[in-house]
Amino acid sequence: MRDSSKVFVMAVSLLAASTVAGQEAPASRFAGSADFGARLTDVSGDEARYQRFRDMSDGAYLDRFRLQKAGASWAFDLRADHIAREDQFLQGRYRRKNLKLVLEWDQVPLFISRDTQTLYQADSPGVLRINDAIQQGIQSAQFTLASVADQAAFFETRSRRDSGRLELLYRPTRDLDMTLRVKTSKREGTLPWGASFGFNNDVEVAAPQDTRTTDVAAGIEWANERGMLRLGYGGSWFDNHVPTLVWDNPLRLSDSATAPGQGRSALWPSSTMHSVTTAGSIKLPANSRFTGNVTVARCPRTSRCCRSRSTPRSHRSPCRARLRTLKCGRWP
Amino acid sequence: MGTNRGGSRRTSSVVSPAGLAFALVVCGLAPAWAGQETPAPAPTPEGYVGVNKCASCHQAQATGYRNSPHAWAFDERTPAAARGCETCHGPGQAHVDDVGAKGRIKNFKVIAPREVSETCMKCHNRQEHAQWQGSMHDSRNITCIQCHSVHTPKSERSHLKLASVTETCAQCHRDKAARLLRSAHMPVREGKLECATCHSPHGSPNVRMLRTGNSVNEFCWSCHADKRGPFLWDHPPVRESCVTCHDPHGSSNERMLVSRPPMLCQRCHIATRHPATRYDAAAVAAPSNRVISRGCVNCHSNIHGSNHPSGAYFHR
Repeated sequence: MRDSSKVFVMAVSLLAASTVAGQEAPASRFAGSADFGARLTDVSGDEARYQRFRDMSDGAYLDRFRLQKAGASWAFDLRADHIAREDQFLQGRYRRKNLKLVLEWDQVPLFISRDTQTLYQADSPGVLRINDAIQQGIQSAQFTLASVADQAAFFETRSRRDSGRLELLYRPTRDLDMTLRVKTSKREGTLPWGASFGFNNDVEVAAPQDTRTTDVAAGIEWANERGMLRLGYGGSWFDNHVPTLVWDNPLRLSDSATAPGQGRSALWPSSTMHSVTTAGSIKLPANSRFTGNVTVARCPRTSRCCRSRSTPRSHRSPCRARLRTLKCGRWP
Repeated sequence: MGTNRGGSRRTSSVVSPAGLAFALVVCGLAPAWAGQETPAPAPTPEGYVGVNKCASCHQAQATGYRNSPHAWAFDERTPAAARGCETCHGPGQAHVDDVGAKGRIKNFKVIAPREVSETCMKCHNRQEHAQWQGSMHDSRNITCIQCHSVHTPKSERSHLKLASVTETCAQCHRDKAARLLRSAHMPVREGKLECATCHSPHGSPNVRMLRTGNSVNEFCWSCHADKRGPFLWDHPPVRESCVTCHDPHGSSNERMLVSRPPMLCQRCHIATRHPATRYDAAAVAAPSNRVISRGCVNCHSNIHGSNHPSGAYFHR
């Protein structure tokens, strides 16, 4: 929680615009603006919460840049926010008679904590280790957890989602649109996670996040004043690069009959989803319209189970494999 | 943590490579595609007076029109490629001949809401706009011009009457806008999302006018694909609907939960091995790991589902 803040901002906005106006459509037009300056902020309290989804750190900033240019047969505009910051956003749009192109880059930070401490070190992605000497010392009652707490290292708990998007619309005839949309998002960072050895015994760790989601949608659509017909495909691929989390037991180095030396947990499974969509509508009399949408979607329900070293054989369950769903509706 | 990947950096030192590539591509393509000719304006037919005549009196409206995509004559679907102002307002000769007389030209402030929508939908009749007729907004007699202003927009995009999508929606949906100010929220007030990121105000085949999918869950998975599964062990309320536990508009509880754990979990789990006494008011004061921090989710951390062979209770 931000208790108080002192913000010193120097900002200069520039605006350049020239409009050459014929009485009909302008022959060319150019407009632009930029908002830049420097910021110095004093935050008492939880700075991470103050900056949860944004980057308000000190220094120079270019928060808002706009550029619009239009000719007799085309139009282009560029938007950029919070440039070179964790939460930067860039978007460009180009339009001409039968073509529309959108390119976008967006970063969304999630800042959870900046004063977190842990004894764990990430040996490799998804493997969190504690110094063996500490584990052995606590197991043999030479140390206590409290006595080794000063060896815990500070780290920031945060993640960031980076997204790139492409949208292309091509219009071969007046009534026909062909569209292609591609969006890919990468999420990387850490989040707080209760890593459990059973009940009454769990540890708080920073679970790694390293995932990518890619969505593709392509479609063809015919429409005029009387009706509309659309056919589309949508595909979604989610890929988790760290499907398993392994962590040391801070209380033991070696396994015993009642407690293991390490724990293992499944994280988010990779998955895919595909759909084919048809939609149509017909204009009817009396302000009425008949509209229909049908989607057939397939989400392959196959995944590998987390291989568990510490799970007794008698507790293992077979994987349920190859469940399939078919749904009607529209996706995406 | 020693290898907290990307976790300790506060600011990017440079614009990302993807951003640079994007700028280069756009800047490179723009001049190359700039050589098209504007189609010659069609001769003015009987009853029509042309844009110049309209602009001679309605200068403010004409300026707004010329600065909008409606004035892109190179796009054959725009009013500029047809009859300009009269594409939407109808032939203007009668209005010019008898200025001030009512009913001589189509005035969107006075005609019936259905007629307003009908006019806009002559061109805006594809993609999500095709869902307008019969949509929640249409069935409540909302018209295009209650949110959009063709001549005097305040927003950068979409010709909105107010500066942002969220402000526009908040004119009516005040309860939802108020929830955005709660401590746990989507990054809407930070400007990274807006109401229209999730909702399609022009209509949708999904519930709650959600933009994609055919259920709440399918829509949420479009960003939170990690919750999509497949899971060996499913948590039934997760499969049923994300909003069983989360309030996407904002909450005073962490992770936008509709109630704080363990009370949230106790809405269902009140039977064997989940006695209410363990989590009741008296226990809140006790330092139980079932009450502090994330409550039940301290141990049941895979609460959305687990693929661990022993993950039936979502604790691994």
